[in-house]
This record gives sequence, structure tokens and C-alpha cells, in this order.
Amino acid sequence: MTDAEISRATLHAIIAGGVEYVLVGGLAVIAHTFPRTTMDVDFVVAIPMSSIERIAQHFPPTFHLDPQPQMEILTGTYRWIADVEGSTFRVEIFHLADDPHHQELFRRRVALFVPPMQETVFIPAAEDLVIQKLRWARNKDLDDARNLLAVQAAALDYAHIEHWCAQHGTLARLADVRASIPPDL
Amino acid sequence: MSEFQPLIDQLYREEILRARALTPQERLSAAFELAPFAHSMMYAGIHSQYPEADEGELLRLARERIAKVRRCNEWKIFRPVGVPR
Repeated sequence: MTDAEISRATLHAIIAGGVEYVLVGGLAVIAHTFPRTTMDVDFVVAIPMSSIERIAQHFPPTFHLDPQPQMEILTGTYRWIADVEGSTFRVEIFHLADDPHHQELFRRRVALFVPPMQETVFIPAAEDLVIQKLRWARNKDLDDARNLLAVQAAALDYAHIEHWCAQHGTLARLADVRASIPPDL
Repeated sequence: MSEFQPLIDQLYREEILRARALTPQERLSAAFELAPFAHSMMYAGIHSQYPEADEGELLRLARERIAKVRRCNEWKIFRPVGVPR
């Protein structure tokens, strides 16, 4: 399967399970910035922790879900991983946590038709990706935050970004990233 | 500041201006089109290191390579847990 086919099959499994979702990770960043490669497709889903089977039962037989989830240490978010036979591209399913910004990101998601997936897909608003990336703050996250701020520029709601960065203690990080963008962009 | 900073800024500016000219759909379509080429470059690199490797071995080596990158990216961020009740 191609990366697009894996992404589409995952989305179809989520929809078939009747589950609310938002596409996050590299593909969501790409939609708001520019084309680049990514190693996985990531969805946040709104289901009880014990209900991952609602989605997994609709996966193609070449998908192999690890039944043991992992926990992201910063916010306590749970994640399941599915490997796909014959591919290095993998599927990551995140549980929608109680974290206030995760809830806000989910509430503000926007719909977008994605031709390679042949579906309308929900993705986060660009502001919420910036907030999320500044919180994680690995080198690649800070690069993504910079690219999101540079490409979206005047289209962004900076009051929203600053509000959540203040909550997360990342205002200085936001200022540093903004200062790294050439001023005439 | 690096002596190359003006050039770095100029290249970044051009990249951002090109990105602004694309729709979200065009960005995602191009990313999915880019993926097979990126994979083929990675497989070519692995094949040059392991010329005797068959298709199955190449996939195993590619997965091993990507797993190292993922471990590096996720170090101290994720840990295995049980499902809470």
C-alpha cells in the first residue's frame, strides 16, 4: 500500500467505527505549510480508552495494531501504533485527552477535502498546531512552528496563540521562533 | 551570526513564498507524490550499503533505520503503559 492508501484506509476505519477525529502530525502541518515527507499518519480520536477495537476492527488485514498503548509523558496522552505489512509508513492513533488545549484543538478543527485520500478530513487550525509544536519543542517541532508562523503569517489569530502559550509557559519560546523569521515575510 | 545568514534568509523567504502560493490540497497531494521518490532514495542508499540484500531484507533494513530515527525523536516522550480502566 502507498502512504496515501494507508492514510485513506485508516480514515475509513475511523469513520466506519463512527468515531470523531482530527488528523494531526506531519500531514496536518503540511496542509498549513508546504510539501515534505512524513513517516506516519496520526489521528486523534474521541473514544473511551477501552474502545480502540471500534476502529481496529475496520483496519485492512495488513494492518497490525499493537494492543499495548504508549503514554506521552508531557500531557498523559495515550497512543496506539499500527504497522502495515510491506511498508515503513505507520499509523498512530492518539486518544483525545482531557488536556484543555487538546480539547480546544479538537473543538476548532477545520474540514478540508484531501484529493489523495478522496475524503474530506478534519485537521487542526494552524494556530493550534503552532501552540502544540511550541509545547513539544523538539528541534523538528520548532522548525514546524516557525514554518507555520511564516507561511500563515497574517492569517493567524495571534491572541489565541499567545493566550495558550501563556497557559503553557511557552511565550518566550514563541518570541524566539518569531524572531527567527525574516522580518519582510 | 553565520556569514551565510543573508543567503539562508533569502532561501527561506523563497521557500515560504512558494508555499503561500499553494492550496492545502496542493501541498498534501505533492507530499504524497513525494513519498515514493523519498522511499526510493532511501532504498537506493540501503542497497548501495547492502548490495546482496533481497527485497525482504531491504524492507527490514529500512524499518530498522526508521525505528532508530523514531526512537531518537520520541526519547523521553513516550513510554509503554497498560490500558486504564
